[in-house]
Amino acid sequence: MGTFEYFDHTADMGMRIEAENLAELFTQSALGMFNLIVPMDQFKPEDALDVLLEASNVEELLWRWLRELHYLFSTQKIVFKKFEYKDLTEKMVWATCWGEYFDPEKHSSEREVKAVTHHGFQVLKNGGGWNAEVIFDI
Amino acid sequence: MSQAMESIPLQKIDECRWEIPKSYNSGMRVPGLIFADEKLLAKIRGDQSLKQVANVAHLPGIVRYSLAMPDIHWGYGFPIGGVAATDPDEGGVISPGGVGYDINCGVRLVRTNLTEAEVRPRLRDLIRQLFNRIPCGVGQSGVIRVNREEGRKLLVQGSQWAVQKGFGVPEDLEHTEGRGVLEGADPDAVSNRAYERGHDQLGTLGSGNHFLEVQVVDRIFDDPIATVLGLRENQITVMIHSGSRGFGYQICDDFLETTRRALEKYHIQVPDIQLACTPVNSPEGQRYLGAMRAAANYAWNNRQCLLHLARQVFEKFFGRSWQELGMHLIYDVAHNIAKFERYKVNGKEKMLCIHRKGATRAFPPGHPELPKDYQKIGQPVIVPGDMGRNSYCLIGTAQAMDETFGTSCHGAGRAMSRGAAIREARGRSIEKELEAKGIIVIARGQKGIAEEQPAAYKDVNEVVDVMHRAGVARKVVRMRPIGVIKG
Repeated sequence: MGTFEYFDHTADMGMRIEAENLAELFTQSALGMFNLIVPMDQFKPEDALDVLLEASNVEELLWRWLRELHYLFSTQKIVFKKFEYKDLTEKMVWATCWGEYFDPEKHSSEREVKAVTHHGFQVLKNGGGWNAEVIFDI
Repeated sequence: MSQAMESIPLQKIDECRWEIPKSYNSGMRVPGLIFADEKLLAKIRGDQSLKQVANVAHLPGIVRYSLAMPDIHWGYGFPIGGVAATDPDEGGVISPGGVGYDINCGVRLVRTNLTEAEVRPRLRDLIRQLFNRIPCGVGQSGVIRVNREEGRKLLVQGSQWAVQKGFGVPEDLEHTEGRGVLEGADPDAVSNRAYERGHDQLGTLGSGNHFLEVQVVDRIFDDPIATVLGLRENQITVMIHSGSRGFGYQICDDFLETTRRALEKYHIQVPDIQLACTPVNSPEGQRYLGAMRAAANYAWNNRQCLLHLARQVFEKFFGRSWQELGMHLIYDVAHNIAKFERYKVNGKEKMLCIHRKGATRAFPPGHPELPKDYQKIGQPVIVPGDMGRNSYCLIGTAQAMDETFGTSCHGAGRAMSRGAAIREARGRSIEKELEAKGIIVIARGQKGIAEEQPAAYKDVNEVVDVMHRAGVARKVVRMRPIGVIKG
């Protein structure tokens, strides 16, 4: 199983991911981002959207992935918590993302994430696994 | 994988000024100039903001100095509290990172003719009413919806649009920086994603450091100027801090990508990819400026709508019209913006592109941009502090025009990361601690109060002291919060 943890950045939030494979890298990154915005235990994987993205390398692809999920949350207010990958390489992700629509009357929240930044963004292959770092603008 | 801290050489100029010499790094085109005293400097050295001041000095066309205000802290590319002027005639660039994600995040100060004694007995109820009426926090939609056609109008017209719709009066425009509009907005330069993110967020506060505060004037430093502003001791004021919401965040995000590509196209070398920039006089630069101005205009509409909602709550609560309550806008300033302004460079007047990233315009008395009633005193510079201490109204000076491209500080500046603030708050109730000091705080986000606790910020009193002593902006009035709503 992969993990995510947060690290300090003066005004914002950093996140470090350790994963054994690409699917875990993408899943943990997404869960870590949504966990900043809302307490995740209130949400169920009951609605689904497909996300298909391409990039020239894995770093760009992970960044686009987080940016896309953040955009879907910002506009459709859906919190994703389960991911099924139909295809996943270092240059392409096609996933069915399962989650629940955020309802301010029903769900509590933590904080707004303004953006997924490029500041210090990195993805490293570590033996058979993956490490990544990302900073979110809060 | 985090970067190691690097010691930056600083030359002391006087008690309030420090220089990073050009010799520190061969790519620096100008020196760095930091406004701080020894005490603040010790805190500033705790993050990488000084390195960022030096990095900004690499920007093509930068004029005179890469400037830093006493509230600087670590940002993306630019430090927050950073100021840079570039000369378009000399290949000067525009950098979306020099404005930031929250384009025209800013603050407005509103006076009332209420006193603390009148408000104190019903304070909790008042703050609750404000919290219920003003959308704040994650996923909250605004009550003011506009279609795409109206949206394009407000992006071009600035807060004049809100006033025409009845969400304010013409005098509000007079007391807003640039009359609440940046000319030259281009709605066609704005992405669909930005429109989608912005369509339901007009009149919403947001979260993070955004807030609406009910305050009390607790100290007057300059009585004649305070009198012109209509401020006296024990008077209740309202302060609103918000920006362009998802609309602006998306525009910044879009153009960080555009300008990253522009670096290669225009052969620009910067030491940090988040300083991505493009010549002002390039198609990419003009497009960013058009979109950035649209976001700035969105933000002024947002704060105007928030003021409208606050006035409505006060009217209902006190059973008097806002005019009877004396709820006049003192001034509204932008904290994150790029503007074209004229300054003398080497004896010659030049039109420069001024990036203010977490910094406030601070024009002197007599400046043609100021409204008639402030011509003799100068521009009010609104500086919010943290929710436990103070906020300030300063006034702009001629010194600022000579030294900082008419710019002052914008707040207290963070001293503690969000993670550290949460650890610090463990086992405590910041809410109760503030209540014991007579401050009622209501926040929607569960972690918001801990992350935004007073100890997470530098002392705003120390920050404005440096500006005052340096002669950049002078202290006029100090407020203390008694009620706060946060996202």
